[in-house]
Amino acid sequence: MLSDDDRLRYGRQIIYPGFGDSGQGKLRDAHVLVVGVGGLGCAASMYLTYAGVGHITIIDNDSVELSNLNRQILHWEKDIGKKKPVSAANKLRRINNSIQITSLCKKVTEDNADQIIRGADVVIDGLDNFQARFVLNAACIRQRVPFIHAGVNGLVGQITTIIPGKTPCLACIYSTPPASEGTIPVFGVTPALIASLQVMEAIKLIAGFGETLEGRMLYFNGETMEFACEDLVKNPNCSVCGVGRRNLKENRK
Amino acid sequence: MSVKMLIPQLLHKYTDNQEVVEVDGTTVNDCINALRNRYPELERWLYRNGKVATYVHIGVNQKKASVDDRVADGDEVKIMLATGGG
Repeated sequence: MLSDDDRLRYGRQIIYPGFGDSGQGKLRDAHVLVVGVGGLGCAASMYLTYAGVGHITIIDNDSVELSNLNRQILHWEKDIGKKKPVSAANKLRRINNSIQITSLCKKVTEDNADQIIRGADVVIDGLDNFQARFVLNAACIRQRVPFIHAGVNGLVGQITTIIPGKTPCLACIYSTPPASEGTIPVFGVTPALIASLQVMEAIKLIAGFGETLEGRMLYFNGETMEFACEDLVKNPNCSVCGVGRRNLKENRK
Repeated sequence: MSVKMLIPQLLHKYTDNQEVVEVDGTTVNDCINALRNRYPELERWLYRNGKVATYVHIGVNQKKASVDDRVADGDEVKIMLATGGG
């Protein structure tokens, strides 16, 4: 049962056709993990908080720097030097005190990824490099947790929703992690837009309505104002979710 | 050097729906420029300020490559978008 306050607070989304008390209840009961509290992660965790997702865990091991402040909207001038999850959790709790915010000041690695994401309903990609994304992607596949991948560069962004066992995973799309792009240019509005889409995907996944970006990559080009979708193909020999994974396991025996 | 360029689906509308386009060039950069010269609208996604965008992910014969890498006759160059920032 939702409280009277919940019905008021989330009323404008509860009245969305087909969402209702049931949809809001599913959001309240959900645990969403946001990995990386930068441009994507700040905006994503804010909209998850406003939407009433009951438990949000934010993870990052970096500290706030002046050069972050054009895009990482939960970090303010007074936060420079603080760990990003601490800075962000402080604001999120003030936005919505009726939900649980867990902040973890650590880097997601091959050693801890499975333990961190176990039990989450959705993982949101707020990372800033493909090496780390590949670690997270593999853990999400192993733990069978939906993974909403996104990335940005300048005014361009991409997003797809990976459902373990069903859709192509990140390693199907790129057989090896794409090379570093150096210092990546970013206007704050690009991660803001793409993170909003990530939360839109999370809401639909959790509440169970609409169509998500399963098996499709959505690209946005802000310089020319174009959206374009590409169908993604599962690689049967994928080293993470396909035959290649089983071969790797057997070789290790 | 004749090289096969594998075009990602989202760009097919700019290449007359061609999925593979043969171009001449001695480096990956030459090949992408030749592709863009044939299909100028590709610049919308593949270039920034006149140069191949840093988010264009390149594979030559299914191995990760960069724009400066040399190519040989018959090579396959696959281009994809990969925006890595967060």
